[in-house]
Amino acid sequence: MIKELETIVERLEREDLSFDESVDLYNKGVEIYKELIFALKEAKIQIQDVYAKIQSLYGESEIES
Amino acid sequence: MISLEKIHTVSEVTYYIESLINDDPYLTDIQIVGEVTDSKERNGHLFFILKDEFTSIGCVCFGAVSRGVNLVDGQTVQAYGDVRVYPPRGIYRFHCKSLKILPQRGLLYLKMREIYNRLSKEGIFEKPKRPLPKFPKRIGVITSRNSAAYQDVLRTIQERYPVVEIFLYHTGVQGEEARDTLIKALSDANLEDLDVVIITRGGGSADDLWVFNDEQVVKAVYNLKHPVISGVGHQIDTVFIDLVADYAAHTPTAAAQAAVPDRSQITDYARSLLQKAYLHLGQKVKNSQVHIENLGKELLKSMNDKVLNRVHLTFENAEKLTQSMQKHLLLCEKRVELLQAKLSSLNPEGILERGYAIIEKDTLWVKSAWKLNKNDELTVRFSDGTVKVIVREDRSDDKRT
Repeated sequence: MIKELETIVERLEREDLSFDESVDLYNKGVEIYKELIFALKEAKIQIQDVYAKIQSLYGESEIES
Repeated sequence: MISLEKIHTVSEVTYYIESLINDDPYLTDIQIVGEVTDSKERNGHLFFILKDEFTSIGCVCFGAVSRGVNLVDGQTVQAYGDVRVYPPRGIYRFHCKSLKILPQRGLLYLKMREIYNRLSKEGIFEKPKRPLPKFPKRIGVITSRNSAAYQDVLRTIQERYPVVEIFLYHTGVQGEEARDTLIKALSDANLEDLDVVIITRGGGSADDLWVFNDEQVVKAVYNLKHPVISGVGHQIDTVFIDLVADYAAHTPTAAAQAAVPDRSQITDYARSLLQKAYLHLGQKVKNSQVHIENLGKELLKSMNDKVLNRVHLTFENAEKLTQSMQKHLLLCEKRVELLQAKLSSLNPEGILERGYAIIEKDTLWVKSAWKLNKNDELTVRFSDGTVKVIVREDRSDDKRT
């Protein structure tokens, strides 16, 4: 998705487009950006969750020994 | 050990000894031969000492004077009588009832001395005693098959330890003809596989027992490969084979007792063995248990350590993974932010809203003056609408420079 966004930014910068095409492309870029931000947030939360689980498991094994 | 239960008077002890000696049939109506020493007469009685090579015994002959008996030191006499205690002085004496003065030392006695000295010189009497077997299986008995001694031996063994095999080697036990049969029996017994050999006969006169002093017989006993028990005569008789036997018993019965253990001895022994085995086994089991427990503990500990190690390693890896994931996410975020900044600067409508206009030619966005020619029809787009314009200048010359 980042690649897609990069391609869109590149096209907006380099290519000769009509105004409408540019607007469409820009709006598409904004959509992708929003999705990306959401996905990154999700990933962050997931990583934190998994890490917390691992930590608690590790803590239990320490106590048992 | 001194008994604390009762304290005896001298008389009690002395009279007890007196009764023992007086009641003993082997000390009553016996004959002894010895050399007279220290003889003296008192109150019509004759007191003297009879001695042989090793020992001596005090003797008294009551009323000797009136009986016309007189003795001179150095004479050899054969005395008949009883051994009796004289309590006032706490001594025992031989009371002679009759006396016979031997013209010379007894022939038999001399012959015995000779044999004894010869065998002594050969070292035969110094033969070390062998231990008797604790639990014999095969016992050889050298005796006469008709003798009371044989019956005594059989009965005693039957009572005490009836599990042995008994091999009888029949022999004559008396007189000259006994010698050859005895030697034959001894050599027969020597060929057999036996655990112990009993040589036995009952009591008798010195003449009767003579064969057991015979030089060849003593040597044959000496040469027996089996342990030997002698049981010849009764109580006080001693014959030369007693000196080479591994155990000399006083009677046939005592010989049989020495040859076999008593039942109670065996059961006691078995019980003690069992107890030992039990204790030993118990200890072994206990040791093994401790050993196994220790092994188990060690195993558990080493397994635990291994598992913990793995857990720790895995946790470290998980930590690393998380960190690198977070780093990666951060990079992604930065890239996205950068793209977003670029994107928002590229928003075409944003440009118009800020008051800029967009030039279009044939619907395409013109981003360079060099792309335009004179008389090109253009559309100028504002935020609130568009106007058509025509290019009045041709910049194509400039373009080439």
